[in-house]
Amino acid sequence: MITHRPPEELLLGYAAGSLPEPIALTVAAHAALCPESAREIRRLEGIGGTLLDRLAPAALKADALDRALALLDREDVAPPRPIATAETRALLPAPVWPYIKGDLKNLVWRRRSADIDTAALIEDGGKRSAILLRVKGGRPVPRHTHRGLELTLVLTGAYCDAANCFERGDIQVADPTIDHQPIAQAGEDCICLIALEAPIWFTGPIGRLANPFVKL
Amino acid sequence: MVSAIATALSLSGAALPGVDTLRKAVIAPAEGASRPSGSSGDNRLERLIRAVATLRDRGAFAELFAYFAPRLKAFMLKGGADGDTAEDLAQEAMIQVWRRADSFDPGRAAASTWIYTIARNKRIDRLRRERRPAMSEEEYAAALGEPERADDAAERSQAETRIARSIDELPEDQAMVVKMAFYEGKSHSAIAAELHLPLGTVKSRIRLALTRLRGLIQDLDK
Repeated sequence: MITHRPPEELLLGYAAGSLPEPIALTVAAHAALCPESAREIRRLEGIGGTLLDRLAPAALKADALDRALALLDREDVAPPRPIATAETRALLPAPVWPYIKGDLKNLVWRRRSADIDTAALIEDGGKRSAILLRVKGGRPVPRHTHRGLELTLVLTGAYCDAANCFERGDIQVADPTIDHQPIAQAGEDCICLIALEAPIWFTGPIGRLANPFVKL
Repeated sequence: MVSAIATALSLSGAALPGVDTLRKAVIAPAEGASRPSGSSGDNRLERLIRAVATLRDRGAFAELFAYFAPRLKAFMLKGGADGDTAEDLAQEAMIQVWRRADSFDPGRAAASTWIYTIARNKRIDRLRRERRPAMSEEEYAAALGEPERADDAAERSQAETRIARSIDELPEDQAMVVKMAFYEGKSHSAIAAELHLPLGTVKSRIRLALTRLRGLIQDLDK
């Protein structure tokens, strides 16, 4: 049961195409698991459709239609969506599949601590990124704050911070005002898709020490 | 058999009556003039997309092109593309309509909504040079679960007419921020910066506008 959904602003940003790629990926992955958000995005896209419909048409070049007709038989060079393995389907929502060519084997997990591994999906010079974060069941993520927007989508297991608990499909939005220490629930590993607008900043004693080395 | 004949007919697209008219409509589009009229207008556009999907009907494509391509170009211009780029993107979006027509499901989206998502994705691909983590129509279908009832398409087109009207009725300050979000693909903070408004003001204007527009859709979305 998904109880934590993204704010309207992010759904609108997705529908309007204004979100940075890592944030858009996380919202799409959430919507693939959450019928309510998918429906809401569709409604907002309906407003986009209506607005497109109502635009004053702009004149095209004289040969526009003929050029289009001539192109219809050209073969589609866009790569088809990768076919995902069964393990990939079980863990990751469809919007993520192209980022690992449909196979979990293409994830490069890096050990961050005894309890935490990460695998990058999108790296953009460290400014914006999307990663998978895997936390051992029952173990905490170092206390941290954020210098930008952080979105967390739970894929397996569950985690709680001081205020709330999050399960598969739930999304948590954290911004620079939030300083939190999530703890994975006992049991299976908690794997999350995380989109970061700026690197997170650890604030706990161990975290502060680790900062120069741990750049998520 | 029937589809073979229809295909053979439309393959000679240039000879079809009306294609010359469509050519002219593209070069000198008159606002609203080429829109299939009346409340069945959306159904007509939907039928044209189905004809492209099932019959590979070039005449139907030409008609869709005449209606949508000039609007797609306008959409790309609003998004900041120069004239040539906007024209290219409109072309690419229409080619995508031809290629992906079989994924269009009138029970799930109006024709204009489906084409809007194609255009939006093209714009992201080209102008921001980012990959596009979009949900495909099939993925939407999976996420949404049960297909909607057959008569929903008709209800939806009524809803769209009402939304169109209610956009006109929005206070100007609310209409402007919604249009900036969709036409220009601007974030709330980009809109705030451009209009020299506090972020909170932009957020509340958008919230008010969406509440109004969405309420209209939800009425018919039960």
